[in-house]
Amino acid sequence: MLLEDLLALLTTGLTMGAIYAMVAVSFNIAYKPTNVFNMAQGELVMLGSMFAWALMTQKHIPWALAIVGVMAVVAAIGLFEERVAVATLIRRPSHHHGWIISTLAFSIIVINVGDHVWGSDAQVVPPVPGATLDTVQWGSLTFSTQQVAVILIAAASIALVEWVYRHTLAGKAVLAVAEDRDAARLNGISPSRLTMTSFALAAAYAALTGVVAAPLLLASTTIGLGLLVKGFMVLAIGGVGSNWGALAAGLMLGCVESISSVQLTPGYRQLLLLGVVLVVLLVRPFGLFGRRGLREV
Amino acid sequence: MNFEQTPSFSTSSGINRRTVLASALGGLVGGTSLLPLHASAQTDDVKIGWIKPVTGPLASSFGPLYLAGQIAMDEINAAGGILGRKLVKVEVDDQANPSQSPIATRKLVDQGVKIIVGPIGSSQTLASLEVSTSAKVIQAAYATATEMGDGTRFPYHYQFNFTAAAQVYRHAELLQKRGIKKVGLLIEDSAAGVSMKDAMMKELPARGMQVVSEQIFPIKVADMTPFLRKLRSDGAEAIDAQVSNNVDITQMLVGLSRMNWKPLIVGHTGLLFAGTPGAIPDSARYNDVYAATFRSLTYTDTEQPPERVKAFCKKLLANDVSEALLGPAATTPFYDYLYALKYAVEKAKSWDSDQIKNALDTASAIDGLYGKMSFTKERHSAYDQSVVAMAVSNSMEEPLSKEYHGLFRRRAAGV
Repeated sequence: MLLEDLLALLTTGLTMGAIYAMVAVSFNIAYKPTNVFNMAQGELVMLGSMFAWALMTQKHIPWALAIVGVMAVVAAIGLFEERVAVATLIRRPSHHHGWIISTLAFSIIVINVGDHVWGSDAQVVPPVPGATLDTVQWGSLTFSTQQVAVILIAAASIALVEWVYRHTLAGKAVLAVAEDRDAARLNGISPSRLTMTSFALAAAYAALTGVVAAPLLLASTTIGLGLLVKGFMVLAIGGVGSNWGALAAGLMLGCVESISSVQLTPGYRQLLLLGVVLVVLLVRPFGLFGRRGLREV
Repeated sequence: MNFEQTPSFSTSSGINRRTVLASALGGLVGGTSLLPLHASAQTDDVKIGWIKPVTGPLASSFGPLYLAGQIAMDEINAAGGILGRKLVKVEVDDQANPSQSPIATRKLVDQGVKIIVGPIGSSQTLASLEVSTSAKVIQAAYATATEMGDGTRFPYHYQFNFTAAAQVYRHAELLQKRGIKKVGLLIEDSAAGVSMKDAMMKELPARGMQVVSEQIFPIKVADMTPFLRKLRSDGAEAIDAQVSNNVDITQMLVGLSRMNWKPLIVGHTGLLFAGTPGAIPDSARYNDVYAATFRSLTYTDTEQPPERVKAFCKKLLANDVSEALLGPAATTPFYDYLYALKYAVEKAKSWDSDQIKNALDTASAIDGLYGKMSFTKERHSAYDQSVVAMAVSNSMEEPLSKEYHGLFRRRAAGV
C-alpha cells in the first residue's frame, strides 16, 4: 500500500474516531449524575444532523445561528426524555434499571417519527464555517479542512467539558452526585435538577456531534444506531466517565476500523473491533482511563 | 380461569402502572406493527398479502417501491378484476427486518392468504419464504439474488426483476468491449452483494478478465475512500460495483473525486441514483459510469422506449415519490407479477396455488412491462439478460431523461 493511501486511512480513522469520542462523551455527560446510559443518544445525534439540514440547508439560516437553535431544540428533547423515560424510574431503587427499556423505547419512537417526517434519504449539511470538503494535498497527506475541524472541535469540546467539571460549582456538583447521590443531597445539591440539566446538556452535545459529523457522514435518519454502538465501544475502552479516555479510545478505534477496512470484510472488521474491546476489558476491566468503583468511608 | 391470581398493579410487587407502561412502550411500537393494516375484503374478493415496511428505518425508502404493484392492482380492478373478482390488499408490516418478515408472512398465511406481494430485500425474502413455501403461497418478492428464481428450491416464488447473473453478463460485456483486463470489485455487505460478487467471479474470468481486488463495504458507509484507494493500489483499471443506495453512491463519487480518479465503472441499477443533492461536486460526475437497467428504460438516437413503459412511468410520476426513489420504484417486480398472476389465473381458470403454478411454469411469452416473460418448472425468473442493457448514469440532463425525471437514460453504445 502506498504511503499516501496509508496516511489517508489514518486521517479517516482519526476523523471517525473523533466523532465516536464525541458520542461517548455525550453518554458520559448524561451518565455522571444518573448512572443511566441513554440508549437514545445515537438518535439525538441523528436529530442534530437532521435539524441542521432543515435549518441550514432548507431554511438557509446562518451556521452559527442555526447550531444554537439545533442544540436548544435537541436539548429540550433530551430534557423531555429525562422527564418521561428516566426520572420516574431512577427515583425508585427497586426498579431503577427500567431506563434500559424506556430509553430504548424513546429511541425507537424518535427514529420512527424521524423517518416519517424526513424519510431516510441522506441530506447535505454545510461544513463548519471556514472549512470545506475540498481535498488538500500536503506532501503525501490528503485531507479536507472539515476533517481537521471535526478533530479540533472534538478535542476542544472535550477540554471544555472537563474544565466545567473541574472548575465550576455546577461541574463539581455533578461529580459529587456521581460519587454519592445521597451525600450530595444532604449537602444541599438537588440531584433531580442536575439530572435534568445533564440530560439536556448531553442532548445538546449529541446535537453538536451530529452537526459537525453530518457534512462527512451525510445527515440521515439511519445514522443513529451505528454511532450508538461505536460510542458504547469507545466508552468501554476509554473507561466509563472518562472524557479524555473517550477521546483516546475513539481515535484508536477509528484508526483500527479504518486501516482494517481494506483488509477485512465488514463482518470480520466488527469481530476485530469487538476483540479489541474484549482484550482491553480483560486487561483493564474499567477501561484504559476508568476508575475502580471504590468509595472511601 | 382464576381471575384472582391476575397480578395487580401494586407497589408491593415492585411493579406499578407507570413502570409497566414505560417498559411496554418499546414492545408496543414493534408489536402493533405486525397487526394487519387493511383486512376489509368482501367475501368474493381475493386477498393479496402485501408485506411492506410501514414502520422502521426503511419504511420511507421502501414504501414507494410498492407503487408499481398498486398501479397494476388499480388497473386490473378497473378492468373488472381477475375472473370477475376484485383484488384487495391485506397489508402487514415487516419493518424491512428479516426477523419480522416470517412473522408478517405467518400472519397472512393464518388468514388464508394464498397470494403475496413482497417483501423487499434478499434477506427478508429468504426469511419470508421459510413460511410461505410450505403453505404453497404464490409469491413475488423484490430480491435480486439469482437463487430466488430457482423453481426447484422455491417452487411457489417467482422473480420478475432481472437477476444478478443477468446484470453481470452486461457489465462484463461492456468491460470486455472497452478492453479492460484488470477489474476491482466494490461490493456492499448484503445478501444481494454476495450474489453479485459470485456472479462477477464467474463471468469476469470467463471473459478473460482478472479480478485484482475485492472490497466489501458496510451499507451506508461513512467514507468510501479507503475502499477505493485499495482498489486503485491493487491495480484495478475498472470497477464492477454493487452499490445500491444513494448514500453509498454519494460516498463513492465523493471518494473518487477526492482521489482525482475516474475509472470506468459498471454496476448495479443503484448507480442510476443521482447521489445526495449538493453533496457531490460537479467535477465528480463523469460519463464513464454505467448501470444495468431494463432495456426498455433506455434509449438511443434512433430507438425510443415503448409507449406502454412511458405510460407506466407517467402514472408513477403522478405520485409523490422523491427523485432518488423513482428508479427503484419503476423497476420493482410487482407490476409484472400481478399481470402474470392475472394471466395464470385466467389460463388455469382457478385460484388454486398448484394450478396457478402450473400455468406459470408453462408460460412462454407473457407480455411483461419490460419484455416477454417466460418460466419453466426449474427457472422461475421471468427475464434473462436480453431485457437488460447498460445505461449511461450521467445522462439525466438529456431532454427525454429530464422529462421523465431520470427514469429513462441513454443506452451505452454497443451493449
